Amino acid sequence: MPTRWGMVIDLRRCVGCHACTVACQEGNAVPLGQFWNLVLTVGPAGVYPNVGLYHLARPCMQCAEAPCVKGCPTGASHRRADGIVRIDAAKCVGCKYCLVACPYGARYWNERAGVVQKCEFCYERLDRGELPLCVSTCPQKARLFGDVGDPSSEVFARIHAGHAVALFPEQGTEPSVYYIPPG
Amino acid sequence: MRDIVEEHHWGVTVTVYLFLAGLGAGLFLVVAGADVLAGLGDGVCWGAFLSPLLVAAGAALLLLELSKPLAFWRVFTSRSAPMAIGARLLALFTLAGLAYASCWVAACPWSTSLWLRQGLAWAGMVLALAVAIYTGVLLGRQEARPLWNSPGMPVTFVLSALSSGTAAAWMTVAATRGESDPLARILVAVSVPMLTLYLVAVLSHVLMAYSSKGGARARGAELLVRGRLAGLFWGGVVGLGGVGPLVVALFAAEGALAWLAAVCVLAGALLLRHSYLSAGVRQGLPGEARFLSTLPGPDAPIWRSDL
Repeated sequence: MPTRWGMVIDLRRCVGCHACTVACQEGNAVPLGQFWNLVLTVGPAGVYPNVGLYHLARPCMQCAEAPCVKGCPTGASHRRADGIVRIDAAKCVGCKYCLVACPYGARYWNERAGVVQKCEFCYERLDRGELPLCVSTCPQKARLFGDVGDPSSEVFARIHAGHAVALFPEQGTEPSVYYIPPG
Repeated sequence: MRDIVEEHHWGVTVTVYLFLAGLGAGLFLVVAGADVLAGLGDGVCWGAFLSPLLVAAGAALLLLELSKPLAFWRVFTSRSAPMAIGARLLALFTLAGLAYASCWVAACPWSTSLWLRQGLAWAGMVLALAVAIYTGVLLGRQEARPLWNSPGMPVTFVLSALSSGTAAAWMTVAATRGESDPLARILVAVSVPMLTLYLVAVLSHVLMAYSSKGGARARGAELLVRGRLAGLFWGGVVGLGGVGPLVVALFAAEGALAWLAAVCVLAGALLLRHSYLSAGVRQGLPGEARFLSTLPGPDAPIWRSDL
């Protein structure tokens, strides 16, 4: 079975330090105002003493049924054999269909380059045998990375332990990023 | 109530493109329909020239929207992407429409061939209907935009194309043969059911979405029904583009009022595209709307320091 790279983000561990975002912005030269690895703060919500707050990291979901890939008229947005959704800048003509189609808002328009850009799971690092920057940078070890299709992998075990969830499953996009809810 | 995110990735050029493609396709359906179904092609032949030019102008606007207009040929490389299918439909319709229009040019040797003209009219009508449907499907299949993601989108866009096409056909007939021409009167009569169906489609789509339970579908419709787009929607799309011209058509008004009504139908069709594009909001991630509201506006000095 071919590798399908994926990620489990444990929201119980994330403290919202934004180290992953800084590493991503710097390592990928992300333009100002764009966030390939966005960390959102949810809350505080509830009524004392039951008040909660958590941080939700949003990389690209690397969907198996990616609407951006299906809708790209030039083939610029494509899915690698290992499941990573990439954008071939040479093929992107800037129609922005994928920006409209992504339910997670994970894609950004680079005005200067005239192409769409997004998180690509640091595929160049992966190809060298290294982890994505957001994973290796996290001081809380809140991100677990691996082959989500490999039953012997830790990510597989965490996903199938029963409480991992994907964002907007009703969209049918089959994301490769899962979350352990804050509780 | 859940968060929504308003993103406007497609600008004015896409709005005008959707309008021109629908108008051109609708005009061809009326013109070619009058020719092959009622034998009234002589009166509306000017529309035959106009319709492929309108669609081609819309397609040209799309090229301007691209960051690499000269690489537009790449959109023909995909077999299944909606935009790739749409690009083929636009190209084929433009060719078929121009070929049909050439049948009305006496200098063309094939202008005397009735079977050729009727064959091209039928082929063009199939393609025109496909173009009109496509403009609605382009938005309608976007699952990330719940207000658009409905069979109501292509239905609304086809009916808008037909009503605006009827208005444009009336304008060509009234300008070339006069408002009292029998064909002009037929077109006014035809516009009554067209505008009625258009209003039914628009109102049922938007009001059903508005009454749905929460979520981005209802919130998008809320923008149109009683939000910041309400004036545009009720005044422009429904009043100016539907009810007003319908009343004028019912009373068979002539002169400046009839011309004003026809122009209002076209303006309403343009505003329909604009308001629908603006109301196509996305369901926000938890905390996303609040985060986006903290970012400086697009004209803030901080963005000028981008490297």
